[in-house]
Amino acid sequence: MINDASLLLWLIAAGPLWAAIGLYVMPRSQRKIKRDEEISQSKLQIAGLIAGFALGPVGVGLIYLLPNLIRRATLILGILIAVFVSSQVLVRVSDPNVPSVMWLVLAGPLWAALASYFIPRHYHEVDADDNNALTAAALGGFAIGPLIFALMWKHSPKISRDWIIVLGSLGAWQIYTIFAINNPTNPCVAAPYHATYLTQQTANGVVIGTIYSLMAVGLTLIYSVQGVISFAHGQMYMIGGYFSYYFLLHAGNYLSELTGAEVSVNPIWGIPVAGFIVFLIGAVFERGFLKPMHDGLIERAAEYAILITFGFGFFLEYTTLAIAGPFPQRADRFIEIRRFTLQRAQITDDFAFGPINIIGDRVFAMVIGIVLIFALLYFLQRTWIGRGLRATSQDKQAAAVAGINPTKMNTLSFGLGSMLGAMSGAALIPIFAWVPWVGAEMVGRSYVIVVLGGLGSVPGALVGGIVVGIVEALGAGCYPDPSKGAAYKEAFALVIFALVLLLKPTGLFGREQI
Amino acid sequence: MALFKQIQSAIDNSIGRRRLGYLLLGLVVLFFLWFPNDTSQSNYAKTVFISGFFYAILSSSWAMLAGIAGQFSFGHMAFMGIGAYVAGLFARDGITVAALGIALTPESISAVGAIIIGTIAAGAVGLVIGWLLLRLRSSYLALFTIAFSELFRIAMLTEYDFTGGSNGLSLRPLLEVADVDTARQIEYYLMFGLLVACLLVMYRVAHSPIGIFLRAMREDEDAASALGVNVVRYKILVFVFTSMIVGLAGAIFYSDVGSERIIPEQLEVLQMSLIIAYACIGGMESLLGAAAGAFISRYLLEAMREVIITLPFGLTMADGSDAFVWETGAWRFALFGLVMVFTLRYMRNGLLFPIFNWFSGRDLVLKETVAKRKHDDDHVAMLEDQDE
Repeated sequence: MINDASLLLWLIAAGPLWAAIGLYVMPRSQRKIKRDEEISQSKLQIAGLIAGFALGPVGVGLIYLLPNLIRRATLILGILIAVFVSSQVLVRVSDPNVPSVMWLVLAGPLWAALASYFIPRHYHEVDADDNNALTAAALGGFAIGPLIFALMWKHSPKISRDWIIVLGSLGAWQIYTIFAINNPTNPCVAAPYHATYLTQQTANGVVIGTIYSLMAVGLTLIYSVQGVISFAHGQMYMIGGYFSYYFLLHAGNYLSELTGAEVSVNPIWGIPVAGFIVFLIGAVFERGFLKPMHDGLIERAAEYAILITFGFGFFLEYTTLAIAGPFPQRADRFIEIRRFTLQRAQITDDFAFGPINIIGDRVFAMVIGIVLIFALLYFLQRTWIGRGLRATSQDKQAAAVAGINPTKMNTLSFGLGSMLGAMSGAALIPIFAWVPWVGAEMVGRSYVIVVLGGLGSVPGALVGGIVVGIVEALGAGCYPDPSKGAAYKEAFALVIFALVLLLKPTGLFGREQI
Repeated sequence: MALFKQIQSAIDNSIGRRRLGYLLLGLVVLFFLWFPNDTSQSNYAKTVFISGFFYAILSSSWAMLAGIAGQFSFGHMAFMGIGAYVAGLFARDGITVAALGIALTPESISAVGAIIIGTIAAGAVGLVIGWLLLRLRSSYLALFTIAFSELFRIAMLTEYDFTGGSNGLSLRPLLEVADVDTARQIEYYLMFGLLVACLLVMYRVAHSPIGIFLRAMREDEDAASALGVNVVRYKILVFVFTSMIVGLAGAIFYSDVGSERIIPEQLEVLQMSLIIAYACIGGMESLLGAAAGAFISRYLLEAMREVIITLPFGLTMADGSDAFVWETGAWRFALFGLVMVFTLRYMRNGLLFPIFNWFSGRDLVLKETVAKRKHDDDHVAMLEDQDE
């Protein structure tokens, strides 16, 4: 066995050195290639670089003498590099408990990078349908390591959504395995309570995720009709909560004066009130500031839309801060039941689910969210105006020809979208402490949700919301250092967000219409 | 109006508007150079000016990125933070690469060295981010940069044992002057010099062929690419360039020049939105406009902390004083947001644009675009007439 230090030196010094030599000599090997099969200069250079890095002098010599190998070689060399670097990982972090083959798979990010570089290029070369190939390659590289090459290289199959779901689940399992190996005392992996803990976190995630998705549905509605991402959506959510809070406060005081007894109004009444007011605010804003954009009065409309919605959100946030002050507010509870409990289910002696507790108000808010989303779906599918909205989102001109006024539909969509944001705010003010900057944090989440589900897709927003809820709950619950885990809560979703934007910007259910 | 016309023609006939403009600009620079020597001014005023210069750099470099190159990045503050944090961590911990035999102890690193490292780090991250962003446009780009900037902020906040968390990270002080007044004066000139230097460099780039390529890219990426502009190269270049400028500004400002420590709160999206608002109010497509907008807004926001109105006609308040005192609190920012929205809607080129336009002596708005749109409208109207 080579000792540690010299291996490192090999990696740092020798690899790049040979790579540089390979880069230099390879273009000069052109004469060895038959004229009719000329290989481009850059390809030769890259091959030299990779071969030098992976195999040192052997690689450079081999590829210089047999440049025709390059055609088949990119794959072979890629795998060789991966084996080489994985062996580095093996030496560095090897743990007597882990079979060494596991480490090859565990070098997930590395395989993901390799697969996402080579596989889409291969798809392009063999002229296969490369839709989703990048996503599947990256996920698969992470989840099953080198096996993904075996699956995708030879036949280059068309990648369906099932592929992505299966590979994504395997990737999640992979992360779980890494946790189990590195941090055996973590509550997520330590028997016998891990099953209970995981189910509890997942249930929390599903509940809160459904509430998140109501807000995201508003964002997606605006986008699908107008093609505009509202950067004021978080502030719409925030003022929705405040309108509900002040309405409940004043209505309660008024009724108390009227009846002479202490009366408090159930926060459910705040939801339609907040929704109505914010609908008007959204519609007026659209008329005043977004309509000129659709009328073609403004150059570079996309940038204008970002800035104007952003500026409006800025205005709303500080106005609220000036009026309501920076102190946290919270409304009364929806229902008296503190928590719902699912009883313990003993599967075997040391494996059991439950008991699982879910806070009563959150369940209630989730039900409101689901009811509102289904009401919206009904509105979009079954009513004349809803169909008009969908028609406008598909084709403005054609809709106008059919007698739908696109200007009205734009205003309506912005009002409705803002209204949904405000309603989710009003549904959450009994649950979270409300401060004027609560929207900024929440809106980040809805961007994640809409991009993950596919911008413009209502079912996508629902699925995305649940996924984000679960990821946040599990991430915060399972992070090795609990205090840091809570602080990183938003970050887990943001990582997914960045990956989705880079790998598959159309999201899971990506369509351009509702 | 007639008087204004007379004055205008008098100026046109004597020294000309452009020269008058340069003269006034020179006077402004002279004022800034003289300002710290005014003994009647407190150190507080100088501090406000120093932070004004800092925000002017951030705002004008954002104008370069968004206004000239059309890349709506919300990650500008994150790059500033990378510059400051890397400089701070480097000066605190040094760097050791055993395999290469490099071992730099913290003592062997000067403040200037740390700032240079911070700047390079910001540029390097800008390179990676710029490369990743090649696939994304407008809204998606904005979302991705928000995500990047938030991730960076959360990481800085959470890894408190490494970065100091919400207490922030102290950088190595750049100046070692004991006397507070002298120190403040040097800091003032340092920041002002940095602003002027950054503006000159950016102006040079914006008015070179590169600037033309960037504008072409902003207007229509595909068309620019078809006409031979290497879109990939210039997109990455503008990211690296502006990241390095803000990284440098951040590393210097937090090296005890304007502020003694960098805190993660500075990296919030809200701070970023201030930068964007400054640039929009001042004029997004003009570097000088964005810088002036940032400085003036900053100054006004500071001056409006407390509005005191002396009541006329011998009126008094309830407590007998003759002055109405209004603690503006968050209202000044609300007003500021309103100004931003209306500026964007009705004066796309910023509130300072008419002044620049007048001094330039010619219309800075592209005549062709306006003419073309007018022509299109006429064309449509003509077709409609035919239908009737």
